[in-house]
Amino acid sequence: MNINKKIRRAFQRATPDVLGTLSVHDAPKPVQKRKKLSDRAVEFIATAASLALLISAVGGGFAYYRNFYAGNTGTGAVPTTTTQMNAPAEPEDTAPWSTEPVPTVPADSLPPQALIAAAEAIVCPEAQENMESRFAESTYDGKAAYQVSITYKGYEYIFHFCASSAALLNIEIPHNDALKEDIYITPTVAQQIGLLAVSEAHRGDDGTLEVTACELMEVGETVYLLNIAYQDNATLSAVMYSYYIDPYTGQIIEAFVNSKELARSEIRDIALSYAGTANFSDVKHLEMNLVSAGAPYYHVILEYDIYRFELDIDLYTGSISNDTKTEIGHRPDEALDAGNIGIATAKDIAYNHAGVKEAYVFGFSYTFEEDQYHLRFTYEDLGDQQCEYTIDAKTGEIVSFRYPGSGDSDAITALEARDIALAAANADLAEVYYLTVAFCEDQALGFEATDDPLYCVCLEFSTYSYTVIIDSATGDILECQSIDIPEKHDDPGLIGWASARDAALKAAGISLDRLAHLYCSYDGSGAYDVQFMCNSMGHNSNLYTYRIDAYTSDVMTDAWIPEIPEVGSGFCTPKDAINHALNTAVYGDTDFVHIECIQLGSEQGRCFYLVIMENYLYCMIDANTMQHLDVSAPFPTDVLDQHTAAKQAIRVVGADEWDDWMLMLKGVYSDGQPYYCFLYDYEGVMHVCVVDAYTGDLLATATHQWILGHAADIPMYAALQHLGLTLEDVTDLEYEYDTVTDPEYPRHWICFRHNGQSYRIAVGGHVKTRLQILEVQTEKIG
Amino acid sequence: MVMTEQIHYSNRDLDRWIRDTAQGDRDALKDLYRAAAPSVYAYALSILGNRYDAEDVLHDCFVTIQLSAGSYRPQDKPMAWIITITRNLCLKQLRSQKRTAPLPAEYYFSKADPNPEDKLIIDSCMTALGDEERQIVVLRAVAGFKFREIGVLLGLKTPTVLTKYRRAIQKLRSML
Repeated sequence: MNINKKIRRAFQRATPDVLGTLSVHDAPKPVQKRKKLSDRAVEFIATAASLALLISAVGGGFAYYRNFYAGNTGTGAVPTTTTQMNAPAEPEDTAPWSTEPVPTVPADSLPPQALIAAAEAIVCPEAQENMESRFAESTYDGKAAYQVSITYKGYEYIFHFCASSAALLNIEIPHNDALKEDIYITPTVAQQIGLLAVSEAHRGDDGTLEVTACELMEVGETVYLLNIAYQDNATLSAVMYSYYIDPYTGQIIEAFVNSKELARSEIRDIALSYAGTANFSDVKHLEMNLVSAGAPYYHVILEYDIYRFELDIDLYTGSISNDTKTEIGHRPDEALDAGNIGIATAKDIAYNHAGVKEAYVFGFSYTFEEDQYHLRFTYEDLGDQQCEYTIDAKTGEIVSFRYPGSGDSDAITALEARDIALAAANADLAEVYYLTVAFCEDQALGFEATDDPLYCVCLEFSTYSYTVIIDSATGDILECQSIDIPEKHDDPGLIGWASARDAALKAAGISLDRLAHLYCSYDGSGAYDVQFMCNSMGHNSNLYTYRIDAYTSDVMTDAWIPEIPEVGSGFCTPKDAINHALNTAVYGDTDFVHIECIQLGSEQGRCFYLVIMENYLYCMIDANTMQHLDVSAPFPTDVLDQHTAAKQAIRVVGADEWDDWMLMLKGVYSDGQPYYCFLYDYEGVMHVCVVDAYTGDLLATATHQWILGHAADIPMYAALQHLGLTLEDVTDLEYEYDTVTDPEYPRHWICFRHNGQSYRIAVGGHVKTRLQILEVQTEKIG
Repeated sequence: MVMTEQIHYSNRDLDRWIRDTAQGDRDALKDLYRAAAPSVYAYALSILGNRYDAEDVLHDCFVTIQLSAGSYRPQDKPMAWIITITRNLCLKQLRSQKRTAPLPAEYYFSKADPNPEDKLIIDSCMTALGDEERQIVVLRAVAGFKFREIGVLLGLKTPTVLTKYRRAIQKLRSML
């Protein structure tokens, strides 16, 4: 018997019968707060509500809020998460077969043989001769239907087809207890059940379905794991549905809806958790390889303590499908740690030198030979980067290293080109305040075209500006030009650009010798702008941008924040943007209770609106063209991955984890610029950061105060606004906080009198689920 | 009433029984009790660790349900409502206890002579599993919660719930 059933039965038998002793008189009293507000409190609430709206208007450049309220029933309940919105409906409990008279089947319906063949092909395309099939006319959900029953390997599959369109409506599989536990329904039937569920969730949408995996697996109980990718043809957005399907009854046990894969950091944390540690520093060996065959998963090899774990972790659900744990004992080189610096210290030395944070490391291994630690690690920065370090075990000295940009190929690296140029200019890197290293067009510079590109290194230091052209294959200097420039003097009393640079480097955890791009400048108003790139190989690199206090060396802002341009002629209004969002094919059928619109601008003059509906549906509208950005063009493939781009975005937000975004949108501006838009939610304030998908540069940012806070004052404002009233219009205002009606989602009751009627309005939701008018009760006074 | 027979119910049944309980229908309360009491008791036991406190919570929970049934709004998750009440009562119980001393295994059972297999299963759940693992197993196996719902209730991410559940089941398998 299934272990879950055994547990359920055991607890069922152990449950005592206390029903006879139930008495409502000795019940714990539900806590209800009810108080009448004083005039002063009412005044305070009005001020707080106004302030909240003011904050939202200032913080986001503009915030637009309105309540949409459908129907007259007073129940504006809507799904509160994307998952709920899109999840396939739970199976109905009503019997699928109606007892009503069978309606007449249309004359133009398909012949029975065709439906039987279709059903047999679903059950098992290869073994149709071994099936018993029956056909009958019937009804399904009150409509004319055909029923095809197929018996195959002990299971009876009952297919319901629409009589007019021949579309498959449902598959019913009565459980046969007589079957052995290892006889399951066929995988093709399981797939069809999943496809039906996804189709139901997207009824009326224009989309494409693809089964990407269907596997029998063990997750405490035996299930079919089914992955189905749905792509919306209008928006090109994709959603991955994963289902656990009961292999005996075909029922969907659980549905997971993921619009994105789990991040590698999440996969790593799942593996660490499984191994029994949260500390990556304790791990001796880690390998993570994505396996795309069938249901995509990460094969993770982890050595921790005296064990070696091999885990297969599903890319979408995070569930572990296979695991092995073998004892490897203490590694022989551990004993050699006595008197040595130890592997943990050696790791720190290597990470610090490479400018890598441990959180970004996804592969690690080391060996100990001849009193040296040989470390190899892979980290995520513009894709996977691999470093190798050899560290003296006694002194901690770095004996040798290899990291991206210090490569061992024949071609010289950007950092080597930089050093050649510095030598040619007789300059020290520490005195350079302007530096760029980039590939350049050799023909444009007047050189004969070669297979290997040329490096163009620009340096400014002291009173000199150098441009050095270097052959990337040989390292030969092809040209070296210098001009005199005025010496860069810092004003008296300022810390100096070199100190500002060092402060920025320290904040970023980057060593000076890693720089391939540097720009330092005093902005004339008490701050230095410092920009730099590291690990540059002549193309994409992280751009670090800091503003350093010119008197104290403090980091003022750690990212460039563009100014939001004023909305001028040519831009649509926020209301237009909202209406456009609502009218798109994706969202047009839904009645929304709560909508907000945030204006985002950028230095490049682009302006767009982020329209948020119910906190779970988002779309970007170009303010110039009124285009829905997510449908304007296919997203290119040669861009940064989302995690790398997010690293730039979090510098604005100040988040601890670069992959901690609440939501990520990606799309293409109307002028062809692809972007990632990250939304972070911190303590009720939403931060929106838009970055260039190619470079990771920040394009636009805004903060936005959620309309709804934890306090009761905002629900009260919303309740009044719902009826178009202000605080001056009502009397006897009272407030109740109700945790009893629905303990999971407490509601706020706003009670008042207006125009000869008493009102009770229930406002629900919290900062995540947003504000909803749940119920309105009215009563005539007297 | 003896809690031995398998109860099949749907959310709609639970909603109906809660609604009828609010009207004073004693039979509806009985049906609701038969359906939900094992989940309430198992979850309370998984948090509190002894049957006396779990029985108190079971009692208080159904009294609270009787009192609150009138204000219950069907949202297709009646068991979540019941389990939340249970959880709140358990936390209240824990707060009222300055210290909880572990009790012998037989204190997990309300019957003097439990079925040996049941005893082994419940003993294993109570002793071999961590607090969170035990709650996850009970919510999944007894209350029939989805992993996502368990995650919401316990404040865990779904993959974490999946992993902990799987590990817990493996532990139980090795003991049974």
